[in-house]
Amino acid sequence: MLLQLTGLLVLLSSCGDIIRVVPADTLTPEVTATAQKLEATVEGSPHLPRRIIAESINLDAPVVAMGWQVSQQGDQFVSEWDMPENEAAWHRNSAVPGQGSNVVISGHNASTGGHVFAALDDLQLGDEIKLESDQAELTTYRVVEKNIIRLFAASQEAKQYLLDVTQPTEREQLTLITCWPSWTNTHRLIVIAVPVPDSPPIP
Amino acid sequence: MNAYRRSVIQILAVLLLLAAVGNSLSYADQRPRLRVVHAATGLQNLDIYVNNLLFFDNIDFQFISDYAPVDAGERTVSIRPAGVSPEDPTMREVTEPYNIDREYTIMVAGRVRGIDYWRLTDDNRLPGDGTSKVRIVHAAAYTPSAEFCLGDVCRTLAFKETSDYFLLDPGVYKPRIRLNGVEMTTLYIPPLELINNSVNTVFMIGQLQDQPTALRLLYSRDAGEYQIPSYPKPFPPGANRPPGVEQPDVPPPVYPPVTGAFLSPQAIGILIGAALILLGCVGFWVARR
Repeated sequence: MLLQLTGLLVLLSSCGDIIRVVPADTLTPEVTATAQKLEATVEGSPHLPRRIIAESINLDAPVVAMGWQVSQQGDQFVSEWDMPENEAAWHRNSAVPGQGSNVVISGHNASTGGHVFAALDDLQLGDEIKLESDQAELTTYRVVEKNIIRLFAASQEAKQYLLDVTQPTEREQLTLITCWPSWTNTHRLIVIAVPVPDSPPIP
Repeated sequence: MNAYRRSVIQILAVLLLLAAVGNSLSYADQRPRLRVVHAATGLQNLDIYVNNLLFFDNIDFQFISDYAPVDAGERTVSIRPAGVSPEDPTMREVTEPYNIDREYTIMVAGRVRGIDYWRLTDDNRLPGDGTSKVRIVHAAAYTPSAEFCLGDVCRTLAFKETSDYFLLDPGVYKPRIRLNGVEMTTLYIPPLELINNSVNTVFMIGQLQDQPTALRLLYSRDAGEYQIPSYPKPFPPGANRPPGVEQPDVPPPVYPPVTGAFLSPQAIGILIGAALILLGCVGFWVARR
């Protein structure tokens, strides 16, 4: 743990805002599965993610829909995520699996809460992540990118990246977010995965 | 008979009017179009005038405008700091021919004292099903020649140079950049998505100046089908709000949630332990004195 404390000091003073980008040079073109646009609204959709599985890191956790709370600060209303403690949190304003856009899921690391994404950093490029829907449909994704973003005294570039990473995308992708390293919240770990081509599209 | 002749004349007049309108519409469709890219990190926001008409207002660094039609012929493009009067001196003024049915990209790079202006002629014809078309523009001033690689395709470009258009399979690519033979691993390079049957431009903007993070890549889909994903309307805020509680329709937070504590309980314990040990050492030292 002394090493961790030393590490914290090093992290807080680290000069890079995006201190690791994986892969640096090896991403090959991925042809994503053809995703059908869902006609139904997300609310009540049978395609809502209910479980996330990543066998390579022994992750098998429930997923709940995460909304946001509104509080009044002076004359302004401010929204804050209503983050669950013990489950992975699917952002209710993001896409559902198979919709052809950005499916965003956040989870706590080991420093607090249910430690759902405590081992997320152990995911390697090419590892598979599966999302199971209400109707037990499995959508399989493959990790193509891992980024670690410094939040403490973050630069504009890092802030912009964090803004962008939850935005809609033109193609299906899964974005997993947690704090990093596992014992603090000074950084964010972003894992991006794309559908495995032969993953069956949602009917 | 007079009534008959009057009707014929009226019909002819209407037909002539329709022909004139159609002609002008078809001309409007064929008018040259131009857009602007602000690639100069050290330059303030800009107003772009065409023949003294304000075309692009208050554009800032990293901005890629939409295409706007101009009348064909010689046109004078003037660059002014944003907000100044059109009568004020321009930073740069260039008169060039703009041809019917062509599209142009005006590049603005450099610094206040050395503003660089050049024009690209775009070829936004779609490449066909099963492929996508890409070109690369080196618009980073004070930056050496760079080798750009997308997949297996590499192009070496100096400042103000543009690659040819080349074809790639649709997919997600991680552009790679080598400056002076050194891979730019410290530069954040977002993935580039090339959709089927599209035309794309990759702009390298900013400037090196010993700060690799001042370099950026901008991606532009110049032509091709793009539909904003049919997103669900954001849910009413407050997933777990008590029923019946009225809350304003506030959009979701823009940043991801906080998913950890500043220090885990174990780290806090170690910190307290270390503080106690330190105190003990100090006490021991004081007692010995």
